[in-house]
Amino acid sequence: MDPLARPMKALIVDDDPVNRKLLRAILKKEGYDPVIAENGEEAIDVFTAEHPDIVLMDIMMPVMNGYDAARRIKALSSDKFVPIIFLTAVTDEEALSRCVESGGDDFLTKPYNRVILKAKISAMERIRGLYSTLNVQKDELERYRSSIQHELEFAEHIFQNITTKGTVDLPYLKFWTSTMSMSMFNGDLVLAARKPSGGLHLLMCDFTGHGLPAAVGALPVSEVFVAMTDRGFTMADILSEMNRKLRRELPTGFFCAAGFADIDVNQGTLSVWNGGLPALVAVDKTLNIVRRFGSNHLPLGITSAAIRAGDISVMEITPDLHLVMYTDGLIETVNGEGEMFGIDRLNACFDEAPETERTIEFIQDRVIAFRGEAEQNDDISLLQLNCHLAQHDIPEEVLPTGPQGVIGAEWRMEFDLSARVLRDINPVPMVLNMLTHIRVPDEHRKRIFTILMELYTNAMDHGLLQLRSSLKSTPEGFATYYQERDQRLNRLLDGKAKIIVEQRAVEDGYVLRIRLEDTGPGFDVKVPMGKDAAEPMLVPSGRGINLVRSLCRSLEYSNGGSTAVATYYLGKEQ
Amino acid sequence: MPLTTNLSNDGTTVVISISGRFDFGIHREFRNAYEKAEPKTPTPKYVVDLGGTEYMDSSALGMLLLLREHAGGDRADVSIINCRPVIKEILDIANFDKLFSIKDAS
Repeated sequence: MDPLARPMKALIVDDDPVNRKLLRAILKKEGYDPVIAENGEEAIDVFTAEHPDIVLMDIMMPVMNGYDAARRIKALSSDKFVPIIFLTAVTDEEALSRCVESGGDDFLTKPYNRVILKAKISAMERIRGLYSTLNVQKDELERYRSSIQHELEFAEHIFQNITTKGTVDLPYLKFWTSTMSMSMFNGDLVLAARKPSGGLHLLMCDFTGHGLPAAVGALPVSEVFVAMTDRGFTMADILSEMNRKLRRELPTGFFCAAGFADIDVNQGTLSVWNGGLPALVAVDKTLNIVRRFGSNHLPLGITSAAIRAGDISVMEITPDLHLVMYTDGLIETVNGEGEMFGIDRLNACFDEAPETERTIEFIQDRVIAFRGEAEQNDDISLLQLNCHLAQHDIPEEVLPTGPQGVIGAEWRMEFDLSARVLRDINPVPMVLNMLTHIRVPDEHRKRIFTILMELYTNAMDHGLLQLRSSLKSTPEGFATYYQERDQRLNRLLDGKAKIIVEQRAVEDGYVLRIRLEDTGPGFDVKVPMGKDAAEPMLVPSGRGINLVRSLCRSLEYSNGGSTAVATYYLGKEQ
Repeated sequence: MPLTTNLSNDGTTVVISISGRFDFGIHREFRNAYEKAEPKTPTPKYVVDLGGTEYMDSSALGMLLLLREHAGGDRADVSIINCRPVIKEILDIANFDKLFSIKDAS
């Protein structure tokens, strides 16, 4: 309602009838609608009944004086500005300061001067106008704030739902995330997902900026990470897809620093990719730093280039190997003196932490103590993965959720893969997904994935690429092996691999026959297997073959090692 | 002024110098600096002088990417010069040497 639309109402409070009459005449002439009270108490009643816009108040009155009445009226009109002008014959400082204390906005000395009275009233009108504009704006702001709050809560809900899909509760993974002061959203993201063959993918992201804009990028990343891990894609494939998606969907200048770790159960390896995070740290039992995985790539979402297997560092998982990952908010934590926590204080934590298992709790306490009362000005994430435990966590097979028997039919599919395709694509997830569509029961999916992956890796590494797994018997050899693998793969011009998967009826039901052929010169299957029996830790790929053998009805190599046929029992028709 | 822009005498190079904090607080000025520069060639070179920069954050990296895009993306010629060690480290971690020519403070 526009307060200027109706005549302004003025309350005149004076016990002297002559004064009342005089003021009334002046105000009426100025266009006001005057109402009258004869003392303080009456003033309060009239004020409550009439809601005047301005009050002219005498001080010395019977029943209730002007100070008390002013105080009561101010209390009654706390939500809007109703100016009170005291009418006084006295001009001593004490009386005037009592006027102000009791809520008076101005005073007018007797005898009244019409011009001064007009001036004072119009000055009060201006203040009142400003006041009501301010009130309208305050209300608008309040409405705006509450609608934004509502939208943020809604966004946060969706955000939580999507990102928590990528959070699994694992006893060997601990993390700490702390959101910067003044924000509901964390621009950091920690995701973990188990792979179908066992083992783990782990991702830490730090998006440009803070708050909601930073959190938005978490949605595509989280979706891609969870879905592709579940479908058996490799970390290079997943990173490439996240990179492409972020580049396509987010504006230029917005990117995601990320660290990705992969625990390979069968190979016994830790693979790490770092694009823009502070160096990831691998520590041993006594918290010695055994390796730093520094950032050697652009963060995700800047270029659309694919991430290749050769961009990934690999090391063997030794007993008590832990991986520590963090975002720069940790070392850039600032204390009250404006000093940064810094890498030196972090390194000191590794020297001083009492036990490996509780490293990040120790670091967390140090950082919080260092920050003290200072504001947190960036999101912080810190995590610790016990790689050794992660490697030995083979998830239980998922039980079928409904009648999901084998389809009682024979079928066969065959993939001929040329060198050009093999250089860029790992066909295993693709084959696995087709199997899902032909209703190969879920309960078998993980085992079949492991078999396919192992046979394919052997066909590639030892068949087409001619790598010797004995290289992997030392930690240095490990790195060499994977570098060499990438180089040879990039140079691969000839050679083919063929994957044939068929379902066949046998006496007691159905089997899946998986055949892998490569055009390489073959490799001696017996050597790694023999050695493997004696020294299982030394020959990871021999471990792979034995694993396949344990999952299958039979595994046979022929043509000098370049053809493998695994027969896997599916069960009876349902 | 935390940010100043100069055009080389031949009008082919835009030099943007930043002192103090290079963060989101100067994003508008930074964008104006390259959008309002009037080089005498359609494909000018850009030089970002961080000699006076004490601090930069990830939004500053984002701003550099926007400059690179403005300057022609993969065809851009953008160099970042006079980096102090702390600044160099931030650019190194982000591997920005793959996109920009980066020179230390001499």
